[in-house]
Amino acid sequence: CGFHLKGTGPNAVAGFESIKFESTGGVRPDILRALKMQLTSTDVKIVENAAQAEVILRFSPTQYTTSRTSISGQGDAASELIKMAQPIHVQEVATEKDILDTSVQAFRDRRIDNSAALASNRELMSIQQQMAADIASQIIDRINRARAEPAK
Amino acid sequence: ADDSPIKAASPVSTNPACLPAWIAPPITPPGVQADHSAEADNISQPDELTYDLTGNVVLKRPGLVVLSDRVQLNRLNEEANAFGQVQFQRDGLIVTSQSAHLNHQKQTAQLKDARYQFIDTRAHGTAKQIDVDQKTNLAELEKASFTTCPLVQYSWQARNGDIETSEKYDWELDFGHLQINNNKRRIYGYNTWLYFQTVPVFYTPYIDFPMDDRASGFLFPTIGSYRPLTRDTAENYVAVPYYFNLAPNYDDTLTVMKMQDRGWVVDNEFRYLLPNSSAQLSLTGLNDQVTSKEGLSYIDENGDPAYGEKIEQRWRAKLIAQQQWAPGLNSNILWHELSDKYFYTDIPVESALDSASYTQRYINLNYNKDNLQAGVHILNYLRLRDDAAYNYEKRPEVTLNYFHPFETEGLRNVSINLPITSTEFQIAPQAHKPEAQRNVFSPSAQYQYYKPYGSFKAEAVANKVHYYMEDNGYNTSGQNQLDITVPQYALHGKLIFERDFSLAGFDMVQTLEPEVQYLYVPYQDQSRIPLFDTTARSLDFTNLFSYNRFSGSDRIGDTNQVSAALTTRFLKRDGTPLAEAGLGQIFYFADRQVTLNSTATDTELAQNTQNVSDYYVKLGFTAGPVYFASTSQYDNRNYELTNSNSRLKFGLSSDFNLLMTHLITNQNQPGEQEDLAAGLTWQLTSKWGVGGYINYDFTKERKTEVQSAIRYDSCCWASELSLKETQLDNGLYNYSIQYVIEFKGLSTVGTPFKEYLNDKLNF
Amino acid sequence: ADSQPENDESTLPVEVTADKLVSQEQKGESVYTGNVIITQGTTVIKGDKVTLHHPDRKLAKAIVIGQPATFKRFLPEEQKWVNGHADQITYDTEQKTVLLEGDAYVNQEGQNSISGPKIYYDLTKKTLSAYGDRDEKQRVKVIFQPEDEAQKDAP
Repeated sequence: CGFHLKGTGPNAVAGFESIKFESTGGVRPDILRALKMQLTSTDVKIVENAAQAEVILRFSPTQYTTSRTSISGQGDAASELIKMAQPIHVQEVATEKDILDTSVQAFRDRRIDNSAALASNRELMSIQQQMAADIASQIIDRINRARAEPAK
Repeated sequence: ADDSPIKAASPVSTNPACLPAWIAPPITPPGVQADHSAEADNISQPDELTYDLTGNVVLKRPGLVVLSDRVQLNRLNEEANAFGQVQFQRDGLIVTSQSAHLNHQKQTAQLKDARYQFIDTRAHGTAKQIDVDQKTNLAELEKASFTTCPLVQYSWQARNGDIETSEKYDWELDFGHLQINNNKRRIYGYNTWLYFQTVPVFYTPYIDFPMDDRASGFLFPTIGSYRPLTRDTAENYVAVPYYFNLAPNYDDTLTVMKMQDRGWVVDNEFRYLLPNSSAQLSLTGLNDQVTSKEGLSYIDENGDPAYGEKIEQRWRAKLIAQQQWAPGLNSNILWHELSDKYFYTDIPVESALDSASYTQRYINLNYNKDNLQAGVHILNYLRLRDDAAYNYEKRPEVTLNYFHPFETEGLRNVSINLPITSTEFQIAPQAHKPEAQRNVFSPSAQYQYYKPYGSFKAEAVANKVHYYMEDNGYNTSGQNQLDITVPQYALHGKLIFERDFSLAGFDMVQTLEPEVQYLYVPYQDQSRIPLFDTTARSLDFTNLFSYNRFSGSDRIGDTNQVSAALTTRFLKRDGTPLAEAGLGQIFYFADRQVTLNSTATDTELAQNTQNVSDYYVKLGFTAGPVYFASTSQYDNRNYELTNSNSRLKFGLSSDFNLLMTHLITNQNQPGEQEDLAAGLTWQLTSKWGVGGYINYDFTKERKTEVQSAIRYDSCCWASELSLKETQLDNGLYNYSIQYVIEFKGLSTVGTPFKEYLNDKLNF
Repeated sequence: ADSQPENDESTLPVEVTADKLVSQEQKGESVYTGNVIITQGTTVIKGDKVTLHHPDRKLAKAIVIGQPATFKRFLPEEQKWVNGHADQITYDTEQKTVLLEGDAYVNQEGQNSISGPKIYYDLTKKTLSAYGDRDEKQRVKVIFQPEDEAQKDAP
């Protein structure tokens, strides 16, 4: 039915080998860490100066917001919707063309047990780690697809 | 919610119809190298040192242009007098008058009966006299006015019955003396009267506000009525902010609030914003007439209102601060101190906490450097009511994590993680719960192999958890030290298949992503260990592949299982997600034994003995204005829905936005709960906007929180009427009505409804 | 203020050099053409064609036309030169005035320079008047030389 392994099809484009990060000031440390970990484990080198980089990835500050989605009988938040959005801007060094300008998002719902607030807080920290890793893998996937698909 | 210290609300409206007309067409001033020159129809020299220029004279100097009908210029003392339709333009300021006196040597200019306007914001006003000093970069204005409003026609019926029309500004500030400080980009006003619809409404001896970016709206006054949980009568109040401002990045707002029964409340909010640090300190205090006579009304253990000791002085202090001490080393603080628990319930200064039973307080110090992270955290819960639960607190928690990817040839994809966490769990004695110091050391080694078409990971984690129980009389574990060592082994594989796919001429990419994980965790008895920070996980599709069915470290769930999931996604060619669907399940090879409660409940036993997990389904799609996403869990025996989180966003246009989230937990099981939260903002016309928010609890059939608001947005001012109601258990109820007028172009501290709603529902 | 006697150049002899003397009628008027130079004391006027009025052998007026005609003179009190040019310069020794017409420009060294369609310079009072031409939309412009540095930084 036409399915083939990603990256092995006719218009497969080799992934990029080197990347440069720019303006990482307002970015969450866990997103940067997850991105570095995933990039190094796919043999992509993170370089300092743009000359050696194939792709330049410029960040804007991460937006992290929580909204109360239900309230307990005592007036405290009983569940929250967490949104983590990371705006990115990607430029292909060889052609100096801007190939991607988007905001990658991750959502998670969490229940809060107000009599075990510390446990909910611990779960929140592990949820944030997973969201950061999810955003990192989305960023890499979006860069690869944007490079393969010349912006119309 | 994560509120940033400096909140810039509605900036001056940019809609062209709202921009005040130019008092004179702006001219780009000559550059620094320009000559001192003058152009005219005629020039004559009555004597060697004086010039008389006539006929639309243009006087130019670096950074300065003066137009007038006639100029008399004295070369010796460098002074000049300009007459007739004088236009003076310098440093983004236009001044027009009938006469001007310029002194080039002292670099000053004086204009009488003048009108002035800022080129960038078009804010403008009049002045009896304006003295501009180029050296000090200040402009001093006597008997001046200021507004950001355009001139509008209005008509009214005069006493003799006929309709008269005239012109007005919606609001205007009149100053005895006004100073425009270009160094600090601030305006300082003395003896100031505020006129609203030509009626004087407010006086302040001193006011100052920024000239540019943060100039949004001056919130004045806030009129409201507030009924706290602890009283059954509402109380009206008026809050008037006196706005003191110290420097471009410092900001101080003193608000005086008169409450009908409780008396005068003084609330001061000091904020500063520097490149690597920011802080907001809010101090509020009052002599409460109600609690000094009737005593502090409170809600007792079983949630009923009661009266306590008489107190008069009540205060609160709140600090929100972020600081970057060095690259990678930063701290953040959120701390409250209250004179009594019920401060936030009684005094409407923190609308998010007026019906909460507790609030979180923390001090964090974090260090991040490449592969090393460390942190010290103090986490504490401030109880705001007597019926609030007692919670464990971290006093403190120290975390350290070192991640090391091997570079050497043979170990290309191998990496190790060494996380150590030591936590001092403490709780109030009234909770009768055990306390302990817990050290968790869970080193792990991973072999990861990533490719565009998939990934493979093998990981082994050795969890070592050690407790030093405190002898506080409630040590239920029966031992003063507890120790468990539980390894976790996981093999995880994922493949990504793709095909190009077009539907009705719209070409997309469809992916098919099978994912499998084998997890083995041996059993070790943990039933005697108290629960400090461990609970069941919230519903999410990724829980299928988590190594522990509990969050926290007091329970490490034993299991021998394979989890499998199949996800398909539809993307545009450039990767923009369009839709996704996923199905997953866990297959158990043996029963599980670890349970959350030390004596397992029936549901826990049932869950531990089933050999297949429930089905987990995730769905999502974006089609035009509609965005929908949901995760749900179906019982493996009768395919009944047991848990689900779904959200829907319907953004018809920037003017109409509907947001909804719907949660179902433990359907047809103990602890069943179903909630809906919905929010709507609708900009009916360019001026009128309405908004609504509801939080409905299906299980208790109760609208826990309802908020509605109507906002009128004119060019340079806006007003908003909002109502908020909260209904809690055993009849606790509070409502607050608030009417706010906001003058755009000064600066505000209020949160217009749209922003407040965004804090509520933001996706 | 009347002019000090010692710099009253109008009494000095006038020297005229030119390629050609075109005509010399009896009523005391002569026309020279071809890089004509008139000097009287420190005043030097040059042009392509000059009409001189010199009743009873004393120069009353010189009308100089050139592309452009130029004029310069030294001011002893200020120890500074004043110079200028225009399509036509009329030097009137009795009135002690210089009238520059047609794209006129006068530069008072160290003080200012003025340009415009018509400039009238009074040599005794050392004052200028410049007249724009409204229907030709020609304006008058004065550029003030920055004062000498010393005076400008005076405390």
